[in-house]
Amino acid sequence: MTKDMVDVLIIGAGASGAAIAWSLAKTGMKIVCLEQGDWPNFANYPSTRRDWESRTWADYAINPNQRKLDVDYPINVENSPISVANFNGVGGGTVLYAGHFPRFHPSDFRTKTLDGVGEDWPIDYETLAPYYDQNNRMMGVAGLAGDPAYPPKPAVMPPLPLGKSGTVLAEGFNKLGWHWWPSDSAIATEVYDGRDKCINLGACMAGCAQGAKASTNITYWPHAIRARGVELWTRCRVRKITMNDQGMASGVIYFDENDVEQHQPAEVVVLASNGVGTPRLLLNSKSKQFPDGLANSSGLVGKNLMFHPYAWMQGVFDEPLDGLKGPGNCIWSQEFYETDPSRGHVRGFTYEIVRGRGPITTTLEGMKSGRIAWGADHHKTSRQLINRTTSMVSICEDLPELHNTVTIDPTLTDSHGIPAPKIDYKISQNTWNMLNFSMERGKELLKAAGAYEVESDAPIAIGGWHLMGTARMGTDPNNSVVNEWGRSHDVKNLFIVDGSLFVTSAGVNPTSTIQALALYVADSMNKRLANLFD
Amino acid sequence: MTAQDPTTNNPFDAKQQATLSALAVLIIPPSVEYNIPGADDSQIFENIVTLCEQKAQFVSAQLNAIEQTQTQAQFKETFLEAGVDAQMQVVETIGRDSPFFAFLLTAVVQCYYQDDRVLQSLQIEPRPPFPLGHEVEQGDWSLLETVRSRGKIYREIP
Repeated sequence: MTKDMVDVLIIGAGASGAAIAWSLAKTGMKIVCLEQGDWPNFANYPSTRRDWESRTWADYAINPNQRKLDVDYPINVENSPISVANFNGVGGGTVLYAGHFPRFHPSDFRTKTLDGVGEDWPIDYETLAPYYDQNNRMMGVAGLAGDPAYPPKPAVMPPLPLGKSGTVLAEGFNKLGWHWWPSDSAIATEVYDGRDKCINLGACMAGCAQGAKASTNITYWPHAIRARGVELWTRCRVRKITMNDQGMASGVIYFDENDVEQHQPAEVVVLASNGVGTPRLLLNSKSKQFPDGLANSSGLVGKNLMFHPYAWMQGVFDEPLDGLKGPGNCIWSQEFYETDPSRGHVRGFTYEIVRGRGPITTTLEGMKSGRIAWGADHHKTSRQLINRTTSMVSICEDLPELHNTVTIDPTLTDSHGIPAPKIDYKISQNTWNMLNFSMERGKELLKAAGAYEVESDAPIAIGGWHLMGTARMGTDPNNSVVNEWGRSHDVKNLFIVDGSLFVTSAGVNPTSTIQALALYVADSMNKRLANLFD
Repeated sequence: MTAQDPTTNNPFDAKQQATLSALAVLIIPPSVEYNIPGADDSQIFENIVTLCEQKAQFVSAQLNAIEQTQTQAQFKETFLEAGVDAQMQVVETIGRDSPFFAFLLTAVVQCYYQDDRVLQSLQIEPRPPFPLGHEVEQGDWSLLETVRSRGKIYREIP
């Protein structure tokens, strides 16, 4: 059955799909967003039940291969030391993210010029700054103005509490004379835009039952779908983007909520399916015109995958700390963010203090590492750790490398028979040097803060939260997939707005930049509506 | 092999359950000092069995192997007859990080640390986080003066 033409068809209702739908809504165009998952059900979030920690390994696991819900698709990660984390549903990754909301820095857009690595972006910090501000207001971001690691930027609401963990580590940072600052966090510390304020559930990464954490199902989407002309269809999984004889995208073929295949025609197609889902769909949309995958004349679709390898460090303290109480977000440090060649690597990283963990996670990790005993000494050793640890992570800038790829697995498929993605990924020597440096300095910090025991590990194997670079932007069609405002070089009514766009990864969480880019692309489209396809 | 309990849907027979219980308490024994049960406590063990049912075939096969083969080959006695040290040697022979013990450890820890008695002994309220939430102290923001006084650290673009 052929449906009525829509003006804009967005694939994916996560961070970027929500932002662009909201921004384009003011044009009055007919906009439809297809989302393969459901609306999240707050009443079912793990923190509403006693077994909340256990469910982070089950139906609310960040790894789709572990979660295995019918709305998930499998991802072959056998050839990667880091597995992909995602959530398929309205809100996308923002449902299960921590809500860390740092921006890129001015230097992040100029890595080639400044440090001779990666590529320069076709846009700069000043271009995105107003969209960062707009996005922070829409998402409701807690923070504190005046961070000396950034150009001046406004704060929307007060920062999250330091708590015991933040306090001891802040004192440690001060002893060493290192930078720290309250983390910009997409978590409401005041009643904001219909959301209640944070009550420190401590289960942010399993969905926020309080509604304080800004996932787009409760921020952008309620505003967007109130606008006339915007519809969000759930349980609609896109198989292929279709083309017409003029070399323009004509719509998509998708499976509806009854698993019936449909064709939805569209004037404009926008991909907002994340750094793995977007190249998967482009590579699955081969045609006579595009035998190597749609919009892939550069050969760069699926190449340059960047993850942000993470290192993890933990300190054990004599006194009780926050344990499971409070959001994981707390304070960050960008002491080692900008390049200093004496450190043995180029580019840098952010430390994020992530407070403590619940008793199950603490005990399981402690027993696996041998720190908590089996048998007679179990209780003595578990009590040394439960409520008495605090952890931190380093988010290391991952540079684009052609051999880090998303391709199509030759045999693996999802429940609709659509070929699944395959990841081939190696951590570079520069990144390893950075990870090792960050672990050594991190342990130094934890000791300065009073930890009597420290440990570290890298990479965090389950930590593929950030999916970037697989359809990057640029002015040269031979060296990029989309232009400087998100339009495909090859298909002039095809746009990309997710993390695939990233030219480099910076050393910060990407959601803030993904959404700022989506708002910037939407604004660029609005300004060019009369000649959008020229 | 003893017969499966016909009165329940429990996929494990009595001997398998006894072995599973012995393994659970081997991992987490009771504590007189903290006045808390071991992981073989009936309420906790019931939940462990429920989790193990997710991989019933795998768990059954492993329990049979431990009871019938592994221990007798090493110690000329069954696992249940063996002492704690011998039982632990069986665990080490199979490997604590083997797929079976990795799975069992996860099940035991999850069920044990959700028990009211255990949580209360740790001064943790036995309730879901929502809707009451938790108190977290604001902290002393004057600690930031040290950072402010240093001035900007980001890199200017020429």
